[in-house]
Amino acid sequence: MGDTAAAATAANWAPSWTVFGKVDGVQYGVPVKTDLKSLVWYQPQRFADAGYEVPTTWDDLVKLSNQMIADGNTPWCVGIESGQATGWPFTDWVEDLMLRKYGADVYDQWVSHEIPFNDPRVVEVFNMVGDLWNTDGAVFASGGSIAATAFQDNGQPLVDGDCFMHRQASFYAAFFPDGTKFADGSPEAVDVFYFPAIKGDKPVLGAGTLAAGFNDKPATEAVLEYMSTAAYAEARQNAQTALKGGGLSGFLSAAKGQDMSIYQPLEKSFIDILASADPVRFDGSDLMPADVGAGTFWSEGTSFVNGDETAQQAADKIEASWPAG
Amino acid sequence: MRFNTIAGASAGFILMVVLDGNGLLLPLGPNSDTIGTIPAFLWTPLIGAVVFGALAGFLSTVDGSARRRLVSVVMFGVIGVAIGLLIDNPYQPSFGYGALGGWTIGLAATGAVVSGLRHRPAVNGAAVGAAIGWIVGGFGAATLGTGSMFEALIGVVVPALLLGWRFGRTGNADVVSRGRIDAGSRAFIFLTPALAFVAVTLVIPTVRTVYLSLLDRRSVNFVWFENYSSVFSGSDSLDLSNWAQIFTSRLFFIGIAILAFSLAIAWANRHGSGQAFELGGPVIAPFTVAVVLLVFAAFTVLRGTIINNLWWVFTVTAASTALGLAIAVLADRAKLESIAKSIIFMPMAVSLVGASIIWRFMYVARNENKPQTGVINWLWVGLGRLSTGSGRPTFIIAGLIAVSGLGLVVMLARALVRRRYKTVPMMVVLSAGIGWLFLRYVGSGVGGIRTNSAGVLKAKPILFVQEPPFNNFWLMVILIWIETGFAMVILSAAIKAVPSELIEAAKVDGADESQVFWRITMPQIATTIGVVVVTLVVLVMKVFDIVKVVTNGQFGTQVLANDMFNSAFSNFNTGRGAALAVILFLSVLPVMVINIRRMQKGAA
Repeated sequence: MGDTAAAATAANWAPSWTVFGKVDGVQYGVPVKTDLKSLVWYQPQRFADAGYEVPTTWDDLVKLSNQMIADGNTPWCVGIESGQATGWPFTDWVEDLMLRKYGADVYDQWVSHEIPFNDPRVVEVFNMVGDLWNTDGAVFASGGSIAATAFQDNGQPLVDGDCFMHRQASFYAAFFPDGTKFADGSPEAVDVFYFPAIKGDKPVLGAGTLAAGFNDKPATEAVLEYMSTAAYAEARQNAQTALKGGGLSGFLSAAKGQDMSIYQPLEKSFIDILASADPVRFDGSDLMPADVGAGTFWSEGTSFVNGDETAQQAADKIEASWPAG
Repeated sequence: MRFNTIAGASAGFILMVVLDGNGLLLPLGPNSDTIGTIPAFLWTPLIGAVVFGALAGFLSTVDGSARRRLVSVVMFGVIGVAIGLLIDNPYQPSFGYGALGGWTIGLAATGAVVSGLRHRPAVNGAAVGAAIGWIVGGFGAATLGTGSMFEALIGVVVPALLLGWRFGRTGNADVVSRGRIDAGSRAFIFLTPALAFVAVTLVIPTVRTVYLSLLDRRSVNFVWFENYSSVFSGSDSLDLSNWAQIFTSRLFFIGIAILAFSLAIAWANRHGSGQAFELGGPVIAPFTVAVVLLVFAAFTVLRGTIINNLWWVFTVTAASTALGLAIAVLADRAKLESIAKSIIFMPMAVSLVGASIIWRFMYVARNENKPQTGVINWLWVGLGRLSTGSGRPTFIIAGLIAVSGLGLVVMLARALVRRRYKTVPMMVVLSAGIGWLFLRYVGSGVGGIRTNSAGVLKAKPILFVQEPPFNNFWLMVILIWIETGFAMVILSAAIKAVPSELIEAAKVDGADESQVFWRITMPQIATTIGVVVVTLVVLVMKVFDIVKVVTNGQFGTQVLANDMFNSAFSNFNTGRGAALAVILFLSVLPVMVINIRRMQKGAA
């Protein structure tokens, strides 16, 4: 990427987002689309009817989850089946909790393999997820197996009240049944709350799409420069909203200086969370080598969720698969 | 002259394509896609063709050996200088003079020996060898990109002069030797396209894959056999640690019991036919079941990618062949034969990926509180609901089971009355099984149902895809479903080709249906069965699509081909991927050799 596009990227995006496209101080990628992962989907009206309050700390969340089980409700929808990528929603949970419990520094060390994958802290986070999920009646799952539940299939049960909470990224709006209302104040509307922090800070797990040029022709440079701007984000938001007939676009951008009026209420709340978030970290499994991030972290994580392996065994196997050098 | 011009032009064209196509030369002219109307990448080769053609044509007009030699050396020298000047900066070598000298002398000696063996003057071979050695030593063994234009010049001009001297030594061909060249080259001309195609698509990729399998994940350093040892030592690919559990598993005990049962029947029936061990009817079914159970007992305990592959090969090959044969025999000369066979052959038309997606939907298990959408779990849970329910359908199913059980008992009684003792044991076993099913159905219930802690009946769907080790088997069912049709069609044709005189003769001699099948039909179609088995083994060994689509190797269902794909193209571990490819290739090879041998024998 040339200097103009790099300068535009630096001007239009906060450093916490541009860093993902940077290697050794050189900007290679332009962030074009943002996904916000630290979200819990829920129906405010159902919470109000049952007398539940949106939790603001991890302890409250666990308490609420247990309260729901005691009341005979199913707190969570969790599905980690995703065909060839089965296991990735589990990695998101682990990443979100690593970031919350041990902070951004340990998270970075973990992702860059400065601490081993079978570090006791990682194993502990595995177990935190496992304990929450494996409590009797905690999860609405197919055939009693989280690993058999397709991640796409959790929108319907949330709307039906088969489960109360569903931790998934901002793009999950697209997986709710047709006609689902989002954050418009109606009784059946679906909304999100921020996946609560543990230490009182506000860490956010994000993901995104980056654009990169493969030649240095001026036209390529101009396109990259445009893609980094708020104007691109607004144009894409308008286009995708129109395509969806005025529904949620599924698009989200953290580019600076966008006109907020083109976003719908739910999308605004995404951007609010993004704007006040600190620290922001990229999806760790996407940053790890593919052997791990798209391989053993998924498969061994699935074995752990399935109960075929303990957290320690799974973490040991993942550590063993980390490619040398 | 015409021949020489054309030969020179093609040589020049090919040389320039190789040099320019690999980016070794400085670009000619402006940086655009075409120069004039001719694509830019053709320009250098075309110039090369014209220059080489002209020089070769000119050389063929020169007679007299001294003049020829001089002209040839000067010509090649000029070409060498031109190419040397054109060599692009990143490819200019800085010589290691030891390597340069070593290669030159070594290959010159080799060339001399080759020439000597062919009864030609040794200097000819030495010159060509030295030229090749100079190029290999000068460019191959040197650090590229650190040298100067001068070194590039030396690197090209010296071998060019050597080649020029070599070509100058041979005179123009007279009529006799032209005829010889013509006859000798004809075979090459006709073979070259085919050989080139085989080389490009088969030989070179194979050699390169083997080479890559000896390198590390980024194909940089040699690790020799580390990739192979990691495949064979990793617990994911070969885990035999639980082998002792084979002998304590339920499958093993049942298998042994049935095996003993079938051998006992075989022994009891031995007088009937005068053979020590009579296959057929009452024996073969329990015997097969026993073998399958014992093999499954082993494969469910020993785990890993390689074991999975063997399990696949055994199960799919055996089941498809056996089912195909059974259907071919049973449908033979039956009513509606062609319709029945068409239906069974139909899955062959479904792509593997399509079939996998269909079966994945059929295997779906849903939440216990929701209706099951996977058809198999719907049936299974539905059976459970029926057997624990009290409505009219429950009684209808119970009635059906009871009627079929009674039917068997009646047949058993008839067999006893008519003293056909051969079939009695099977009848006993079958009616006992149905009796057990009936009692279970009206008693505690059978099917996908469980009672939860609060005493409420809940659906209990089977996790066909997620629950190891039998999820492997449910994946194999998909391929069996497809390949049974293939086996059936081939075997059916073979059965129809069995001469009816043989069968009639056997019947006249008093053979019953089962004896006709085992002693007449089977030997006649044995070759065809062999072909079907070999084809299936090769196909199943490489199974990929089904595992890729349904589980991607998760839940303990990994197979070699999918592991290879993931290693090479998701994890970018080229070394491991290539090693797995080589292992797969080597394991299929013996079967292929057998197949080719048989085909050659058949042709002879």
